[in-house]
Amino acid sequence: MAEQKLRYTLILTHSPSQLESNLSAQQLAVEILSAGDAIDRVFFYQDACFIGLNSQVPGQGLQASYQGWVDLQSEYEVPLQVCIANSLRRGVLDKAEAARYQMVDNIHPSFQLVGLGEIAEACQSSDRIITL
Amino acid sequence: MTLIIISSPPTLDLETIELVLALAAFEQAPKLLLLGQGIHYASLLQQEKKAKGKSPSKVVSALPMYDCETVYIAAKGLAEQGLEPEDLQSFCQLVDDEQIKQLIKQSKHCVNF
Repeated sequence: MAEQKLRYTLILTHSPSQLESNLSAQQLAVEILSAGDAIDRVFFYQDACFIGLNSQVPGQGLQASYQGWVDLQSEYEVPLQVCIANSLRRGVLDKAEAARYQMVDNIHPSFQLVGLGEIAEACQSSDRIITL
Repeated sequence: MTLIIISSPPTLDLETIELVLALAAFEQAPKLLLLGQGIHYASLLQQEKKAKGKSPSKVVSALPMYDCETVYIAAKGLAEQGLEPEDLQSFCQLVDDEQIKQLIKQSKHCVNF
């Protein structure tokens, strides 16, 4: 009998420039998906909202903090969800919010701003929630 | 049941408590366990951290209104943080290591901050 897939939600909370948790989370996501399990969402909370910033200019030969997630999303269609309230506080805006506040959008289009209801949904539907 | 475990000190915008409030508002009946520096979220001695902001304990005091009626405090950490039981919100309950183990065991998810 085939083993049942586990469904994961990953919650990231740290700034990509302070700790290595963003990279650890990307490696974990690859392992989860390679094992045949599923990731319901990656949720970016608190300073992890900066991970999706589209205006990053990484050093030569280095990747922007969002790149690993964008690659994963294009291969596995993993939803990349960013807390909208935390993002607005930090000036991280998508097109809709930028239009609302007459500013310029600056989040990578692979990321979507969402409410905390997504975490409530994760509590219901994911088998595992991992905070990094 | 989802257990939110906070061991980091209160931040300016109290975003971790916002998450607990949101889960409660979505009727997820979250439970909150404060450890180490996280105990200061329930401390009556904490004041607001920025102008026009709210004190951590004031935000925590909204939890019972959302049916999150008990905030669990790791008893071992209280003295280490220089606090006495009377410095905490009245609805806080001190728990020992065995009770913490049981709380974790009873929870479907544990979300750590």
